[in-house]
Amino acid sequence: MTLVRQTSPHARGPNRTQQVMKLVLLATVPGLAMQTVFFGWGTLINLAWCVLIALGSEALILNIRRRPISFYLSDGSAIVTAVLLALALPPLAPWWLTLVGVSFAIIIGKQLYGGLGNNPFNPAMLGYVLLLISFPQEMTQWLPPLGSETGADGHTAVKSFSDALFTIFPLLGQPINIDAISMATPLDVVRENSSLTMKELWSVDPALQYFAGRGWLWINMAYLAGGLFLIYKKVFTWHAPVGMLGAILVMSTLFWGGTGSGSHGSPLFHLFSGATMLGAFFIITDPVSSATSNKGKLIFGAGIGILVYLIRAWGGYPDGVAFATLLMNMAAPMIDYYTQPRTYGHKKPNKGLPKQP
Amino acid sequence: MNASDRMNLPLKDITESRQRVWPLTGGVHPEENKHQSTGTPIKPAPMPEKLILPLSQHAGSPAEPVVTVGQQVLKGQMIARATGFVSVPVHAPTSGSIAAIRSEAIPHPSGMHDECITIIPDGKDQWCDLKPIRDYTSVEPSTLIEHIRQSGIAGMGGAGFPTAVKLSPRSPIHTLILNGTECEPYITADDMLMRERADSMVAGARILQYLLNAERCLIGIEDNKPEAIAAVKKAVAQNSHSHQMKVVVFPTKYPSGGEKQLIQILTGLEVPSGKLPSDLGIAVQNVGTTVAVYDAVQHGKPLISRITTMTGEALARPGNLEVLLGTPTQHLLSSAGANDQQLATLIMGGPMMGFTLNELDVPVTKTTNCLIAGTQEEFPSAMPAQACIRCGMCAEVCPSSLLPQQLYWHAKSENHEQLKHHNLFDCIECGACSFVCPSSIPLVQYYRASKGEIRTQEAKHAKAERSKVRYENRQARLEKEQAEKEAKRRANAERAAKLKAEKESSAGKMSSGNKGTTIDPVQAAIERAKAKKAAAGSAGNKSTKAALSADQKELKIQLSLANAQLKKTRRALSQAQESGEGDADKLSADVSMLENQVAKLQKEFETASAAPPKTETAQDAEAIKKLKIESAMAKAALKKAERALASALEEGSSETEALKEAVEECRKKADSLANALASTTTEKPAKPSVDEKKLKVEQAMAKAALKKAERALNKAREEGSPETSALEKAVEESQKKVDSLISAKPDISSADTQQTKQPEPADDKKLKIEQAIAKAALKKAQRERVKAQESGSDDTASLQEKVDECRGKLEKLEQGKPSVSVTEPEATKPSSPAKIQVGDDLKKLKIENAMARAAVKKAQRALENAEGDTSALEAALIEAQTKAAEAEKALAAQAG
Repeated sequence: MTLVRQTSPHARGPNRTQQVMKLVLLATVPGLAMQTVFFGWGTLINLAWCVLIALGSEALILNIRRRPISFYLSDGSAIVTAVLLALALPPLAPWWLTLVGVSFAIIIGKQLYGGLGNNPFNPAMLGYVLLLISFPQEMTQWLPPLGSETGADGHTAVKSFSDALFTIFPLLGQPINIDAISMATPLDVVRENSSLTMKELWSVDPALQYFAGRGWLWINMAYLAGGLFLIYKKVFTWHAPVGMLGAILVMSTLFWGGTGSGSHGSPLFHLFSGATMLGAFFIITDPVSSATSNKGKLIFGAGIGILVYLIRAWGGYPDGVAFATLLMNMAAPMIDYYTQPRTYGHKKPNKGLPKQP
Repeated sequence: MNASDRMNLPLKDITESRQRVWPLTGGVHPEENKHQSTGTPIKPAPMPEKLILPLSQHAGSPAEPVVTVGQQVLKGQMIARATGFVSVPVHAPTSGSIAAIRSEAIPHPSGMHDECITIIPDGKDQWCDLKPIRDYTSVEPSTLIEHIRQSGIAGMGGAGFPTAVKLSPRSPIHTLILNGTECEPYITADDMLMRERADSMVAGARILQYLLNAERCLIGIEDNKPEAIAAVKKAVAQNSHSHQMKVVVFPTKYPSGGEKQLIQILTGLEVPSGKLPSDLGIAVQNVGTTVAVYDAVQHGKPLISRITTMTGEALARPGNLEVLLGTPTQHLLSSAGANDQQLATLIMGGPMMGFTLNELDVPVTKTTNCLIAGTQEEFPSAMPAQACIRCGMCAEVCPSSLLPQQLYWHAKSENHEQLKHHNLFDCIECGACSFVCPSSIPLVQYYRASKGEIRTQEAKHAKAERSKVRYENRQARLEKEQAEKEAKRRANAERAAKLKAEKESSAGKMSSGNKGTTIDPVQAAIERAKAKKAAAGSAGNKSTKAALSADQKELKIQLSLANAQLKKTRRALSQAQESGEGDADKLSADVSMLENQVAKLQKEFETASAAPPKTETAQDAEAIKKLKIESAMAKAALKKAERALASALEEGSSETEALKEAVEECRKKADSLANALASTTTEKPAKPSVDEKKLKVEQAMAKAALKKAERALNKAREEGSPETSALEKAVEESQKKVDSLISAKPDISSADTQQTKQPEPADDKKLKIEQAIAKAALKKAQRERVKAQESGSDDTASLQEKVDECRGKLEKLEQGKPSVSVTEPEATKPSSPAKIQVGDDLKKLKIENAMARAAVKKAQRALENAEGDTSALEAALIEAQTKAAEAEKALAAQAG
């Protein structure tokens, strides 16, 4: 009789990478639904297209690298990257824009570094930043959210599936003129404002509603709910999101600037507008490219929060989550060196690089 | 409050808050699977056919057998004794006979074999005399500890550390902790023990408390064992007779049962890294060990059995068995109704830290708390590991607060420094990280392997350090010895010099008084040599003295050697004549011959001293030789240059021009040298040179070869061999060779010219090579420039500069060439080299001479030693002597 020889432990927990990825995807559903409600079918079409490109480019590179394709594809990491990038893209981004961004994220951002687990940067954010720098116009063409219809042209047309599909894939049919209906995001509106007080701005601009942007408040709330679900499911710890949100809160309070025309917007505005919640719970919690210890994650998140605010308030881009994430990705290894936890039986934690003998 | 503060807390605080439990850092909740084996009470396992008792069932040095094969032993009798402090003895679990003491499979993760004693039970199960200590309080703790040690008790929780060692702590103990945690899934041995033997356990705890003088005792039990908790609580209430014993219940979480973890849970203290619990004043003992101590002290029973959980889905009757140590697992499995078809994995220990067995015949030892006979479904094979996504779940569950994901990266890259920096050695290998890893990475295995590697490397390093120290010490010792020796030698030399001086002064007086009787022979010889030297110096021409002194010296040495030989032979002769032994006639002949030789040498020496050699003629001859050599070298260079040119032409190389020039140069030089040689040789015909001699030798050899070939041919013809034609050809060839050699003799001087080479063209050649390289570089630079221009690169300017630079270099080189050629002839003056050549020939001759003399001497010695037929040796001697004489003659001629 041949007995199995195996190293301990012989018992295995139920946790699997696929399971982790599935939970992350599941947690994006509320946010995705909100985005679809406020911005139309484009979001879903984009999402499907992104997933297709991500799987295709991953399979291509795995094939070139002579790795078992199905084994690696089935871990679901490519789909997560695709979904996160799709959620960050404008709802009616043309097909080629998505193709460039997603294939760059998967091929350059992930596979060329050695595939899952080896990429120093968040692949989705790498793809996003590439597009933002290369195609700034296409990347800022956000649609007016539901409920902000103005004028005869309106944007109700985008509500129809075929319009969205043809706008994304103009080869299939007659696209709508996106330039005519696109609209600045609330963050952009506040950033560009120099003459109106906050109160006036809120009453004038259709993109603004309540204390955040029209629709954006609900979208951010949805991502917050999804994120809390993931923390509950122990997919990640609270440290990085709390670090980021706390830093944004502190920064936006410190540099609020009141309700005058020079204001950068209220803390609540910053917390619930733009990609704040998506970033805090779905982007910066990517374990591969973030810091590894809990203390490190807290610092990592806080760094991102500070950078996000700096870019929003004084930078050249309306939102800064992608840039901030990439910058802190670079700092993650060093953060790791200085945030080792204190080991059992040790008086204090080890810091920095090992001492050379 | 950080750890160090907590560690410094006075004991009082702990006592006051002892009911409190601290949370375990990290930890996991694997499926418990404990209920399967708690359904039935502990039963004794049936007696097996044989018991295999490993000598090393504990941590530390293995026990040493004290029985012999075939010996009858009684139950409880010691069969192997402890060796050293960290060791325990082994006892016979039943009565029977020793069947073997040999290497057998032992339970070990590696499946290794080790020394074991095999007992065949006789079925009587007869106890030996037991020596219980009923009233342990009347005995010294040290005596009790020795009793426990001799009872063979080692930690029964899994590590097997000798209990006696743990009971002799370095620092005073205030808290005894009994570990009834049993946090591993499946295992219920301690649970059942606490349920059924709580009284014994409490009594054992009191013994331990007495031994350690511990103020209090905490019994830690996880809250998933309510029956055990109740039983122990009852026993404590009945038997502890004091408030110093307390049952502490805490939440179930793996790995709470680790010694360090249990201390943390019960006291909030952390055992400092690299230290022991006793440094905190804490001692931890397993509940099973406590019962074993009780049995040993109260009943005098050594450790011969233990409770082992038999569980797993492949067993029909899981449960806990009281098993005799050494019982083969196969026996236990069959008694628990194992299904061989279903059994896929056999684990000794728990599913988290136990190890798989690949043999069924390994014995149960003191540390075997569980045997899990698992099915394929129960323990599926490991899945292929996926990439680490640094999710950090491992770090969340690590009870030591390590960063397993970082350790994994560093282990993979074998970065030992980083591993140590991340406190790899604080890993307790509990397996919680592997358990939660979503990518199924066998993390613990990586750490185990890395620990092993680091340990090996450190051992190697330590060894190297020791060797280095040893080596350095040895060097120092040797130097010291050398210095001492040197000092001694110097002292001796001084003493000897002093003695000699004294002796000389007295000898001088004596020799003046009585000449020839006590004179020191060595001194006399030296004086004689001095006198001779002086005479030679005055006789010789002063101008040629320097050049000739070497030859004279040589002759003188020969002369003195011949004299010495003569003297020796004379002595031998006189001895032979006196004793009437040996060949006196022969010796007298030798004497006369040596006398002749001495006379001859003397004559030669005198002529050498009187007439200085005609150096001019010799110089001329040497000049010719030199010229010849140079001419030959030039020719060779020419040939080489021509060859290079030909190949360059074929390849169309750019260096053709330079090569052509080189060929011309070489040809000119060779011609001029040949002319010079012709003029010199016609003026003064050279003496037969070494080359001629060589030719002669070759001729002789060729003739010999011819003869041999002819002989072979004749033989072949006689035998009618098929090789005749080949041999005929060989004969012809040989004949031809001989002829050619004979014909070569007359024009040897012309043939000589093809031998060597003059040194001057070297510079020229070098220059040319440089030139060629420069040309190539120029061409390359030009090509690059053109390319750069084509591609519109902005490097063009720098490349142009490069081209110019190359061109300048080349021009400079071309200018440099003629000047070298002009200076060349000056260097060709054959002045000093001629002398050197003379010296060379002389040297050669001298060497030959010396060799001949050596041959003579050898022959003489052989003759002296020979006893039987000496005629052949004599002939050889004579031959050698004639050869030597010839050599000397040649030398004299050369020198003269």
